[in-house]
Amino acid sequence: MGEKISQSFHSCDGYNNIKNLMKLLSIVLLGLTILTMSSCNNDEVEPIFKTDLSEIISVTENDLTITLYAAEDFFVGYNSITAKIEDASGNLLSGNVSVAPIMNMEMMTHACPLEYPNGQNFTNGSFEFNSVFVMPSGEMGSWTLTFDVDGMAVKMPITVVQPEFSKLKSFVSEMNDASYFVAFIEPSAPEVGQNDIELAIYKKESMMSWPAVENLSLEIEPWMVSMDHGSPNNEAPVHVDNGHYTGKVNFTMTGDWQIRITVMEGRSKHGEPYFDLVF
Amino acid sequence: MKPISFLFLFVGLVGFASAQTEKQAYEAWLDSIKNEQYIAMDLMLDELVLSSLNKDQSKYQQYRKYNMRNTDDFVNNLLGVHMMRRGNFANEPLLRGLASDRYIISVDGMRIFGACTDKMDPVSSYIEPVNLQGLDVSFGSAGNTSGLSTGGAVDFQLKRPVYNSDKPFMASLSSGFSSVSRGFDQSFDLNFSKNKVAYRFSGVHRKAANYINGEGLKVDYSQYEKFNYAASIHYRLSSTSKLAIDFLGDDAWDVGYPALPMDVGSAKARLFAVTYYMNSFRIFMDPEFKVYHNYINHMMDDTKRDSVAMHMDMPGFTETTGTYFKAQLIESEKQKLNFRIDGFRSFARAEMTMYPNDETFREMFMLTWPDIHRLAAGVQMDYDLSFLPKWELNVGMRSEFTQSYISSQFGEQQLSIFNKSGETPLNKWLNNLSVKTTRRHRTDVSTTWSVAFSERLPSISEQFGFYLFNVHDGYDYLGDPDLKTERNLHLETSHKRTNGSSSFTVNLFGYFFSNYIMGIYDAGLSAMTIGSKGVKWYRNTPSATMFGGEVASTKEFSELSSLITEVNVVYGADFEGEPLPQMPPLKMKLSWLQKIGDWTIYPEVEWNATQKRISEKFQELSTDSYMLANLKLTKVWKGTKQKSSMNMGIENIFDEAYREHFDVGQVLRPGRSFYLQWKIIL
Repeated sequence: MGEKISQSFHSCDGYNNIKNLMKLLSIVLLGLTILTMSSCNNDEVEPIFKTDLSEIISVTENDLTITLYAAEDFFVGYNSITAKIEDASGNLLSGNVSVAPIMNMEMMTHACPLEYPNGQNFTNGSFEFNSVFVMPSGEMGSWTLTFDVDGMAVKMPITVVQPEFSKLKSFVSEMNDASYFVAFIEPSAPEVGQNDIELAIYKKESMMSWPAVENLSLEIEPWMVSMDHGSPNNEAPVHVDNGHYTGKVNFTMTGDWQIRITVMEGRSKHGEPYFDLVF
Repeated sequence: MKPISFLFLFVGLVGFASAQTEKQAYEAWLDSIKNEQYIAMDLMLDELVLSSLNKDQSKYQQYRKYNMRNTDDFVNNLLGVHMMRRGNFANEPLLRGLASDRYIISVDGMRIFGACTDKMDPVSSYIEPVNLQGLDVSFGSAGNTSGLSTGGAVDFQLKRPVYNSDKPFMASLSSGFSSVSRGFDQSFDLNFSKNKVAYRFSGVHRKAANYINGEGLKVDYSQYEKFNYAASIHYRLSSTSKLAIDFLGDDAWDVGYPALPMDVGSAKARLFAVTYYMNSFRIFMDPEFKVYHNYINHMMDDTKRDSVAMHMDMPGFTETTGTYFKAQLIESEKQKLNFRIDGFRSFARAEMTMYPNDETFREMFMLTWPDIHRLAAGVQMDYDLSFLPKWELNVGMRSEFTQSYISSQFGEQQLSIFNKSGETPLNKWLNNLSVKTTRRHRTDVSTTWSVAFSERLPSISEQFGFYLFNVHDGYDYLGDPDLKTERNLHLETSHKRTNGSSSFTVNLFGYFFSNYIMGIYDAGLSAMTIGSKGVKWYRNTPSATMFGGEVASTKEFSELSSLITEVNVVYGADFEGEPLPQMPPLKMKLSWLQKIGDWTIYPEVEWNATQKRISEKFQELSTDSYMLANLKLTKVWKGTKQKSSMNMGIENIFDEAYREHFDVGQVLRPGRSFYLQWKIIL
């Protein structure tokens, strides 16, 4: 390689060669830095688990302790959850995991939409998943999260509450009679002005199959019900990834807003769910 | 307020202390006082100077002013000025048809800004005639004395305490009644001068009920009550310098605005000023240095209305702090140079909280003036030259640096909806240049030609207002931070001849605006206010043109009788050639002045043409022609120590049901009214 470089130095395209050399040098330097840093970590620092979220529940089974963290108690809607996975002596583990949220009702059981944002492998005991609970715990039935950590199972009974303002709406499609579920993710802390809006949409194919729907087109209209007016310059959410749709929503004042959504596929309408927001 | 009262007390004590310690010097002092040129010479407390474009006062104005009972009345009687009404209180002056966004109102050269987003409180509403020494009005781009505008300027000069060793105590008391609104007005004015100190105090109380219009119907929500109080101390530091402290307060409450969906619970204004006057300082003659501060707190209220779509709170607040230094640099027979440097910073905030009728919903909040800051610093020169025997030249220029921004994060978020921002200061240089030549054909005949260019900042509502509902056209208005300055090229000519006490004046003007700021409908936006027709943006439009003129003549038939004629006409077209909104139609006024003994009889006829040139963009309706007749009587008793006067009269004798074209809403003005006012001057 050294030969090649010295050769090209003699060519007439000197500037490009210097550039290439600099590129090469910086790649080498970067590589060295990463190596040093990771070796430091391996040698000197114990893996640690850090999160700003609140602890919701902790269960020990089969010599595994799984602790779940979230911003708030589990609710009907889109929950971002971080799990800490330790062995019996409190060492943070790495490996592969799968989660199965199951609602046990008297006559039947059903699952709900689930996402692994960073895949199913985890390191340093930290694992993230998103679960869209579709109904609250209560007399109707109860929720269980079943973790499978490299073949070892941990079963965790959890409580899901219904929030004051619904974060999940379902409707039966006018097009195909299927049940669709729309989860309201953002704005989680709405403010006057321009807000990012993020929705995730799922279809209930069967009791156990809740795939994300990616081919929809959406329209939104924020509505001030008590005054009967909307707001200008909203951007309809468009599909980004995995059933998530993002856009912009504007609020001209504080108060009770309703975000009215029209869910379309091509030119046909599936339904018109809405969300209430108060701030 | 407290520190100010201490200051008053302090200056007062100093005054009395010096009286005791320097009794000898006191006698000599009294004589010296009379010779100083800045002593306010007018000893009559009711003396008022009204000056308009030509800065002169004719004889008849003196009679006229006796019969004016409030500031709106005073301003209305200036040539080229109309008063736009929203109710029976706080009328907004229109200068040749241009509203307050386009001109500057100042008080003794101090900048002050109304605190109501709906323009319920033009600055003139915080001033009372009893406080007024004079009133200076200029039009268009010429004569911008305390800031830059495209429509003109109004400066209210506050009355100063009078040094008078012959009469150390002077007082006047006045009381009046007006039948149409069962309104009672009281006022007093006190003046003390002793030694180095002169004090002045005044107070006014006004209370009126709902008035009756020309159809004999009571106009609901047209009542008002107010209290105005002023104090002023002048203290002589030496025989050539003087310190003045002025305070003015005005409290109005329970003020109805029948043309608007809301009334005013309370409106409070406070003005403070400290001024240092000198005879001369180095190269400066008559230098004057002032520091001032003022604020207005304005609370709208709709709780007394029978039916409102939604109850709202809309408080507004403005605060202005500033300073100026002005002096004369050259004064000779042939030339004169005046200059002024000034600066101010102002702050404005207005909010709106809406309470849904359905109590399950939470109240809604928005910032209609999102903490708006304005800074300005300007320098101004005014040069007069007599360059040929019959020719005079006047050149005026002003240059001003301004900065505008908002400091509210909430307001910035509101703007983000339209991808706009107001956080980063917006800097603008504004310039004004005017050139005027006068040819004196004879001593009593002169012709003037002038060219003036000026530009103005957008008003704070035009730049940062957020969903302000305008009752006049029924649209919500949005301000645009990125507006450019509005410019006006103003051409004017006037001709004047006088013959003894008779005079004839004609003014003709043309305004050629570019970047004319007006509301433009945006079909893409939906209305916010309940009942609103849609949303308009304040936008720079390419052009607007105005033409017009005034004719005023006084014909004296004898020492005892004269005829006064006035004609006003304005024509305005926007960038599409359509009429500008709120343009006054042709107006003529004929007055006869007759003196019989101690009585002055003053019948008056006012005629307004039909206005059919209406702005469809502003949803205007045409307005019918009308004629008004008034009769005014004044009797004066002059005693050795006191003087008293009585004014009485009938306004709108034939009970005409009328409104002016530019009035907001379709509310009729007052019908026939008898009034009586007496005044004692001690």
